[in-house]
Amino acid sequence: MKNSICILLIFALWVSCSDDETNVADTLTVAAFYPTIVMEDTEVIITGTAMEQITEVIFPGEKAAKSLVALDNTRLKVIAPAGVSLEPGSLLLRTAGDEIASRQTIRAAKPALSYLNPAEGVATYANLTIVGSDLFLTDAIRFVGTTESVEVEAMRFVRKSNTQISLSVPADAPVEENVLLKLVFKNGETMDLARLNVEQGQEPGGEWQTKEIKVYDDDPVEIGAWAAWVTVGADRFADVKLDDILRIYFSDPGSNPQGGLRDGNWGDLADGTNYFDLTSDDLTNGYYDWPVDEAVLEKLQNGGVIIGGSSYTVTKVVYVTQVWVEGGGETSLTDPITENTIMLNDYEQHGDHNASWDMSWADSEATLAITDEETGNTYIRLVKEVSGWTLNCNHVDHGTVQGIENYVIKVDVLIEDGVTVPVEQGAQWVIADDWKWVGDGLIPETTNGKWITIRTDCSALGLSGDIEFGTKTNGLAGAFPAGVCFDNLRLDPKD
Amino acid sequence: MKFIKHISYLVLAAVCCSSCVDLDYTEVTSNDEEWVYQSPIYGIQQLVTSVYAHVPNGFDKNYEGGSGATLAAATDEADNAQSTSSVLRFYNGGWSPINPFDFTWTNSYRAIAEANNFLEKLDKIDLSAYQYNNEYEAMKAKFELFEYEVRFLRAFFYFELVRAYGDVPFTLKSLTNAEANVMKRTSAITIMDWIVEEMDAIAEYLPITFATELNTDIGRATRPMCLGLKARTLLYKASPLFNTTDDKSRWLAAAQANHDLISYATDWGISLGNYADLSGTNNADGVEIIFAAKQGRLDSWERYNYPVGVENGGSGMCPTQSLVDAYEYLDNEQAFGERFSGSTINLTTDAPYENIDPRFYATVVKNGDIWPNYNTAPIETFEGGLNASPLLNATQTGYYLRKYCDPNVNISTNNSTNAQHGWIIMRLGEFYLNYAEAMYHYYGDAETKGDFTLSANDAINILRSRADVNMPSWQGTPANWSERYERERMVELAFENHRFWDVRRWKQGQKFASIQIVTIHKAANGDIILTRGTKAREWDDKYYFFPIPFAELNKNTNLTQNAGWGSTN
Repeated sequence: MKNSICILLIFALWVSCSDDETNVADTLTVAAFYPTIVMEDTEVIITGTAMEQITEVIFPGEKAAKSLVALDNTRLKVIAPAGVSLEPGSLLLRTAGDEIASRQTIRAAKPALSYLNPAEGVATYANLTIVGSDLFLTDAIRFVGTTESVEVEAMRFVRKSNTQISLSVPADAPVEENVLLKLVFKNGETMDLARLNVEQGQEPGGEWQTKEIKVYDDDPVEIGAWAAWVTVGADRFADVKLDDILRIYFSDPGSNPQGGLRDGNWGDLADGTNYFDLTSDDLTNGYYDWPVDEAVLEKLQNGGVIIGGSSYTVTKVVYVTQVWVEGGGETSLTDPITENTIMLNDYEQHGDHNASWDMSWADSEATLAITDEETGNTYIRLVKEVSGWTLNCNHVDHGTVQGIENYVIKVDVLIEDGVTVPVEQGAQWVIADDWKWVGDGLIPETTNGKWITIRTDCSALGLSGDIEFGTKTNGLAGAFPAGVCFDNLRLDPKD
Repeated sequence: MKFIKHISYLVLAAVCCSSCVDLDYTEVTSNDEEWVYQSPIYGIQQLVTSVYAHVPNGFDKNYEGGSGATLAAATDEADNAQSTSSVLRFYNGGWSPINPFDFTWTNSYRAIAEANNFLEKLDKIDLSAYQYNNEYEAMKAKFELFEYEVRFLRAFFYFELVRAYGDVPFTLKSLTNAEANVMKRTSAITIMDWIVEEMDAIAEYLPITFATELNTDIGRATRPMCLGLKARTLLYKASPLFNTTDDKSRWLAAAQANHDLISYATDWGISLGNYADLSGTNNADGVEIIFAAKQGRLDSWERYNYPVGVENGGSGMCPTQSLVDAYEYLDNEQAFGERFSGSTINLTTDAPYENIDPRFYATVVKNGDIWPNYNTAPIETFEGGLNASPLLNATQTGYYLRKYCDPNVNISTNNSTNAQHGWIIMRLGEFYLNYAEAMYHYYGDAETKGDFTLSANDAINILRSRADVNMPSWQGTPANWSERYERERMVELAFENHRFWDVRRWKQGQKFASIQIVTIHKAANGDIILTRGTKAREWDDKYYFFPIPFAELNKNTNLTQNAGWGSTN
């Protein structure tokens, strides 16, 4: 048995891969490298074989790499020199006795601006798009004002490609005219790009909400008659702010309960905190508060607080603060309707037209016109799942829209709480009888019960030039569940 | 004996016949190259799609590349009720270089080979013929991203390999058979360092989300994924399995990377949502999700894991009492296993599930639950109950699985439905935990913030204060902090394929040497009584790393075997 296995093992080794095992690692090859656009001091990683034997790397323009380090025999890190040619060319790799040129090409970057969008003025929080060429090696965008400058690092860009950078103008950008926009490159070089006016914008999509931050919720402590104390360390108050409220939750109040607040050195946290009677409101609430003024803030952050008193049990200590909650706003999530808006259908009564009349192609059992009693606004609500025509309007004459590529088609959407919209929507905009495929995910899975605006750039749909709308059909088709509401199908000029 | 001899011949014959396509390279150039590069959508894009298609997921590309059990059933999280499942080989002695669970090896190297091939021919992509098409801009934007997407994926697959095998052959270029046949193993640390550098190099070129792209594709590589892979890699690099000299600076680097992701997440619209939203339809679109593999509409997970007694239910992976013991209570920091440590618990009078961490209810199905939604009878896991022994494949742990199941999916023969499922590969919660672990190990206490904005406890407390969890916060650095952290991580990430690797990187394999199970019976007075028990499993320290498949060793004499798995060749 043993012999049989040995024989078979030898056989197995003999018949297994018979490729020529000459030392391929010593043969100079270059497989790939990146990046393919460089500035002086850009790090280029080259992959191939025999990288440990490379003695010289020549960039287009007959410039030798500043330095080269073989990371292993298949990877070489080189630093690009100054003076690399703008014309693409091969990298030349040399060993002591061999030379090879890459098939891929490499060239020097020549960053340039084509235009900004918006071109002249932008508000903080708003999107700014820089369109140009060779923006690839941009490491940051700097907003330089007369006295201050703010930088947005590349990781915080909304998007970066070689021809376009999009970013949100930072909240703390200098708000003034003629702010200088600079590109900062990876090698430290900078380039003045343009000047633009920066105005104060509005923080988007959210609201300040009151929140309790727990700083103690360990085992309840029965205070007794000034017998026990609850200590909360300063580190728990690192984020407390002026005008927050220190709140002590309690249970089991006895007769004449009293509170007491000390700082970390057993001094009074503030005037009047040595001892104080809990009020009837405190007893009703189950907690008592102390405001965080400047003095209290300093004491909390330096020494924390020690809580005592008599005739109650401390169950929890929090501070009440204001936090910014994204998407919390009620109305700021929808785009405004302006004098430049071309309203395709707002579902209100206009002469003979109204939602029912205009929506004649949609499933009348699935779409219901709802009028908000409070505001009088009429919108469309899906009362059952639709698949196909969801919105349409083919009765209102909109004439000719010039330069459709400069417009964005929009609709306001509200998804009721508890409704989740599947991503598979197969959505299509219909613009002047022209069906434009958008596909899945046009509408988010939820809007948390709020109205938001859905937008699609008409140019992204391949539309351009002047379009005769007349009474052609406009609308939206796709698969959407019950509980989704639509309003204000419209065209708006791009920002 | 004769039978064994025949088996030996068959095995050896199979080895002899195995392909010479070393490191399991696929024939990525089998398509006509000219056609590929003249056909952007069907050619070039397909090359990229093919790399994505290798991304594993627990639904239909598990540890063997199939469906059924996941690695959770090879840990103390779960016991597999189906005794024929291959997952049992992880702990019953059936795991070997000849029978090696080689999916991670073959799948990852195939993906890497395809990625290398794609990246070497980037210069051949020429879209100029399409410049007058309506979709040209969208097409160009999409194709410009391919390089970075593929580089992310290549790093992702190297992480898969390093996590499973430690040192592995490392190449960033396409190999001929001859080259592949002589590849040596590169140290895991070298590869981890490369992953980190690679993520640093490419992250800023990838979108934060594809929702804002002209092509609103889903599941493609993003900037948060890059930061996530970097942060996860650095955590592994700092962990005892890889950090054999206890180099503290590695914990600091891990803390920094995880903190970076947490910080950016706010700006990028990634936040902690409800824990319950991690399961069910649209879970992959949740606000917390960084990387998920969407699987379309299916019911296989429910068919595998719904209890027996539910028509067509297979019981599948049953949560263990070891897992249940880890859940703490809302009223103090005691865990189930501490509060109810006795050998028996009267479920009727002791009410041990009251006030338990809400994540329990999102993960586990217990006796008395209505499950799934269409089932009219409550689940009975007591002996003789509707969903219990002596039914074939009934739970041996006393529990059934809820995580990732969509309770609205009906698997009955006459009314079957299905639903979209998403396998979570990265989510924000993991990185809060990673950060807490790294901070604790670097600073030696859980309250220090150092140069960061959060202490270890702060990170844990943010995680525990989700709206539908809201567990008591942690304070101080008790002696058992690390143990409690490991418990918290087990609870938070249950059934998400972390535990298998976490216990290994902590070098705590003995935790898998047995699991806690229970038997439940109905007493004469009607009370339901839970009795604890232990089920032994095999653990050997060689299990810290997977064995290099014997077939690979046989082809390449430069490859060495992992410790404990037999001869070097």
